[in-house]
Amino acid sequence: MAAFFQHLTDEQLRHELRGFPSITVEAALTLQANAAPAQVSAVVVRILSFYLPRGAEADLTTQPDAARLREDLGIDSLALSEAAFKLEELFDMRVENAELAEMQTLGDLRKFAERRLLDR
Amino acid sequence: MSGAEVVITGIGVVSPIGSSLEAATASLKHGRHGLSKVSLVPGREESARVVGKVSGYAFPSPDVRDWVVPDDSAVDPVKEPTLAPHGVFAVDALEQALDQAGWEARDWQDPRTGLAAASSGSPMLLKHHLDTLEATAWRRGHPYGVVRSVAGTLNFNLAARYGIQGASTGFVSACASSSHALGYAVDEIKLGRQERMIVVAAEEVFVESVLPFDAMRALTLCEDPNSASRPFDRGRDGFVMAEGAVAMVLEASSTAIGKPLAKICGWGQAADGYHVASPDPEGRGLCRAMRRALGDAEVSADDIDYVNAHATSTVAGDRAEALALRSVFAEGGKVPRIVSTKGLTGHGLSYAGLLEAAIVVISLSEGFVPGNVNLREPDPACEGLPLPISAEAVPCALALTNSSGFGGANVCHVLARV
Repeated sequence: MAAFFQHLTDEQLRHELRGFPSITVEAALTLQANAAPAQVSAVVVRILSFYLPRGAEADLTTQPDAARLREDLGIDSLALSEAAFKLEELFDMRVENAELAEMQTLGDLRKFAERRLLDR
Repeated sequence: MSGAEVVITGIGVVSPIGSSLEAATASLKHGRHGLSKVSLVPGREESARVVGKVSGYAFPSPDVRDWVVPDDSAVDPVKEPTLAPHGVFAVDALEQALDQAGWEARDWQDPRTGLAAASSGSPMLLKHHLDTLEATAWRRGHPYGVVRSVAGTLNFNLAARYGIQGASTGFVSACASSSHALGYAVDEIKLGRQERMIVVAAEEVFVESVLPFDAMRALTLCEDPNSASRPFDRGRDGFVMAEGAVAMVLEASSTAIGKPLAKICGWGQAADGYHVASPDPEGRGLCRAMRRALGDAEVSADDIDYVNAHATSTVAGDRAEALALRSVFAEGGKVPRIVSTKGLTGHGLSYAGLLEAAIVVISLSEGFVPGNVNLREPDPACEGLPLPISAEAVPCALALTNSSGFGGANVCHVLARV
């Protein structure tokens, strides 16, 4: 299987993720090296965590699928759009507006990650 | 205009001459300027210009992860990615002002508290976002591209960040913007529509915001920070652009929470009706604006002890203002000290007016007028105007501050010591 972030070298991936927690960077690099499907949604959730608005500091990785993005986790539509912008850059993909609109829970995000990224 | 008496109870300053009211006061007293020669495009000497930068902050790219703010900044840029660089300055200035006024969240979130802001937006971020869109065939852009870059970004962000529930608006009359914002805020209180108003203005210095003025031939050619900005001097040849932010808290005196620092007695405005970018050569619009401000304050010209002039160090602008000042003050018999502080601060464009209103408050409360620091040989148009070169200890009771902007907009405020 090819490198997961197909258009990025490890160095470029580190640059794109500068400022992110080291655990997120390491998770992305591991995914890049091993293309381990089980890690895909975890990396996406860690990336979303970075865009939590001021005052919304939940650890998303420990949250259940049923957690609602807006009501339970404080992720507003612009924060979600910002995370989608970063995912598009990292994964060289397009996140459609309809996909974002349908994303209501953390489980929806995890399913989106698996559906769109696992077959890469 | 009659109505409630309006007092200033808090001021915050993030500027090239200091990032606190105390630091700015010391710079004004001691004639310390905040200007330096900076390569606006790193490594490109041809982009170097004398500018006024705020120390302690760095914005080396449009990405908030690369931004550096002082340890005591109220902003974590990563957590507030909708703020432009000048929005970061503005929040830090506003925190100072709110703290000085002794306000708490319930005070600024009260529907009787409003916000008036002024900035030009962020040309640096606007260019970046448009470049990003173009590079992706207009399919992908940053979701915050609009709200962090367009004119209005300051009022959008501050109203949301602080939960403002009263009036909220912004002003775009170029270099008169924040003086318009201040006048609007005063009127809101005098008319009884609001009890308290927050006024904030800010600008940022990047190649995208500075060099368009070079294309207008409006910037000085002088490369020496110690003499580049020299308002009213015969040898002046253009302005020096400066970044920073000023915040001011206004209250109706009868219900003020904070301790009054100064009173705003009246203001006036009048346009030149002359040119999009050049002033009326005789300063007739500014003259009308000064007279309207004096009339609104119900004082006469000879009551004024000190004028903080708009003079930016351009050939046409300073001359027009000098003529306007001579016209207004010759009639009263007493000519007040005239000072342009832009030799120290540079020209903050839309935030200049509020910065200079803050400087007037400092002068009134501290009992000194700053100097026209780089004035060596006054322009003949200034004949008869007292232009102190360095700060002078003079008790002032009443002062006037002038602002002029593109389109011939002129705005003047009269402030009094309390």
